[in-house]
Amino acid sequence: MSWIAMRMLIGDTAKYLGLIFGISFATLLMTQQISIFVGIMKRTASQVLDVRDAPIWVMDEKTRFIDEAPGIPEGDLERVRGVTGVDWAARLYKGQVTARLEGGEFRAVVLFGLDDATLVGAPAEMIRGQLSDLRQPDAFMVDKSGYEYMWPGEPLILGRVVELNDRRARLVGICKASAPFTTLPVLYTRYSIVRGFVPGQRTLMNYILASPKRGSDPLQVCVQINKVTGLAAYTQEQFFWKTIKYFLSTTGIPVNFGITITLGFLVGAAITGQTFYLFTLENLKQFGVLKAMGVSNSRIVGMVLLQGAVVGLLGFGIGIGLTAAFFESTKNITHLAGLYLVPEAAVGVGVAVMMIVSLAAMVASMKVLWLEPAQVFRG
Amino acid sequence: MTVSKSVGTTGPTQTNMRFVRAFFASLRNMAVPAVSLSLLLFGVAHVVTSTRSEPAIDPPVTPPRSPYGATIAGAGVVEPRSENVRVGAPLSGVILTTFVTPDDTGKSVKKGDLLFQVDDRHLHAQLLHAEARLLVPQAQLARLESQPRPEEVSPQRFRVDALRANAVRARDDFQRLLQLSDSRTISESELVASRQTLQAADAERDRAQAELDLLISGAWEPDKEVTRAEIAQIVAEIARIKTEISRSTVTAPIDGVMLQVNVRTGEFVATPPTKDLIVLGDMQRPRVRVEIDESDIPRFRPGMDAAAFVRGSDGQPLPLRFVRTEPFVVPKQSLTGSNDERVDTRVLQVLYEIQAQTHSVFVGQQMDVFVNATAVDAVTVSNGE
Repeated sequence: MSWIAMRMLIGDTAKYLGLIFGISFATLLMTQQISIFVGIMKRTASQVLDVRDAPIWVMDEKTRFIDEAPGIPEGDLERVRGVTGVDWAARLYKGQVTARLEGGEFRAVVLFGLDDATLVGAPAEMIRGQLSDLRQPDAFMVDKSGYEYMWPGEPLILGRVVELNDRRARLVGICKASAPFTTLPVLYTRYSIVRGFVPGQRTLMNYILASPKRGSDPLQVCVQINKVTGLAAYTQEQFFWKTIKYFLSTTGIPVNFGITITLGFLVGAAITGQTFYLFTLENLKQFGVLKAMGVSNSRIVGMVLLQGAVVGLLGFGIGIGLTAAFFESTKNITHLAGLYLVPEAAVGVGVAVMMIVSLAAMVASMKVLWLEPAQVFRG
Repeated sequence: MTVSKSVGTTGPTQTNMRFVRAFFASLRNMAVPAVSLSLLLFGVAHVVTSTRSEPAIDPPVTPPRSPYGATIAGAGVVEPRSENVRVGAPLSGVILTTFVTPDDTGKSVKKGDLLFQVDDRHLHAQLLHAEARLLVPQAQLARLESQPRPEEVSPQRFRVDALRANAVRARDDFQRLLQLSDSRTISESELVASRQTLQAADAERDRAQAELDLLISGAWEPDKEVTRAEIAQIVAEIARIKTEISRSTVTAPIDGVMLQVNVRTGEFVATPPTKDLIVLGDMQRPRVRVEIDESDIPRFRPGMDAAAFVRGSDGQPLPLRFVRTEPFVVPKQSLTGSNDERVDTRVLQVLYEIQAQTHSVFVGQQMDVFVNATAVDAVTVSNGE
């Protein structure tokens, strides 16, 4: 019977391909949009993920997301170090300043001030230069896409000089960093020289990066830090989600993407459902014959479902492949770098596609169920 | 392969045609699933390679870790046992001579070693002047003390002798007239005149004798005292000037190492100095001044163990020995140097001595210090429960 179902499906090439196209298109639209949405949301917290050497972030208790933390007193670093369960702690500055380039243009940049002694929070991968060059006077590093943003179309050269808060800063390295949400360049420098790069403010340090002692539960250590010092402490994952939740709840991004994804689902469902329904309708005669031959209703519904499943699977495969091809081809474009097909999107859309085809199959098979076998012979 | 061979060699036959058609049909049937499958595999490969999560890494330099279970952390600054002795100059002026140069920084000096000398030429001039002035009262005293002058005594003595002789003659004259008066050969008035002459001659003689005695007795002691006082005054002034001159030369107040030398010949030194001229320190056993945040003070007990880390090194902690607690809680010293700084917190300063010999510790260097608070925290926890 399955074989007959398949022959019926493949027999009408135009409808067969149309169905697959509909599913592929819906899959492509949904996976691509979901992936871009997830990628962009992830970018809001990409600086959290980029710090791979410290699992705990400590900040002012009222901080809502990564770009907002106010300064905390310098002495709090020592207090965090004194909390039981904390293996080590290091200071970190993260803020936004304006850099003036050689030509007089200026760019807003994200500035990181790393602890002088340990460079905790430093970029993990260097493209040009050495991390240790950061110890030179007035030194800073920039991420590759930031370099391209500041000096578009120019080769990667070290030694460039920019002005930060009227002070000279010299480029000593180009590193790899995840693109930030605002697409601003990410600059890394030492904490002690950040004081000069940032317009005067009373407290400078706004984050403390810490690590729990081996064997202690990071979540427990966070609670302990909060209890002892009154500062908020989050694990990397907690802070990542806290930042993302902030952007989800305060920007139009989720609504915007939500609409596109829903439209993708609706369009996909409409095309597929309609085509499939028509396809089944056209094959009503065949089903009638089968029914007259004594094939049971459940068998026929099974056949329709099998057809739907095959179409769904093939279309889904093509759609996933096309999405992957899209992200693979844009991998090296700076503005889209770091976006990829997320597995959650693939699985979720898979489920959605299966829902679409089963719905369509259900609706289409209704007609077959109520079909009087004799009817096909009348005409 | 079989198909193309059969087509190529034997030519199209009925069977072959059907076979070929069936093959192409199955090829067409298989094309879509094949494309779909390969695209799906490509997608899966993309997902697998892209979602590789970045592993956690270690910081570039291992941050200082507390060697204790429960700890109070504090920032410390290295200082000499003597603290920093900022040698001052008692006198302001231009530096005339330096006995140490900036190149001698780091060398040891003994207490009393010469360091530098400010301009003292005007003091030397004052000294000469005072010394010259001293000669006057000294000469006066010498003159007074050499009195009576022998050359003056002799004429006076001769004068006394002459007047004495004169008096004798007057007495003789009077005696003679006295005898004659009895015989009434002379008048009463002549006798009276002679007596008066005798009295005058005696008085003259006594006066001359007294003058001689005055002369012989030499200068009057109170006069000498006055002169001596004048001398003492000027001598004191000379001593004062000499003290000033010695003050122009600055010497090492303690045995120690010159941590900073900031003097160069020709520079002006103000009092109080506008910069650290020479900083001395006893570097036998350097100490660390640890600042403990006021909110950690309840957990601190004098005498707790501590360990210090040199910043930027992965090395072992340096063991510390408790010295003392400064009982006065001070505003946290901010190292930013900004003048619009406000005080966040106050800190308790605790002094620890570095137990280990190390070459990487310098005065003024910041260290990360961990104080062992295990005992206190254990007590607190048990009380809490």
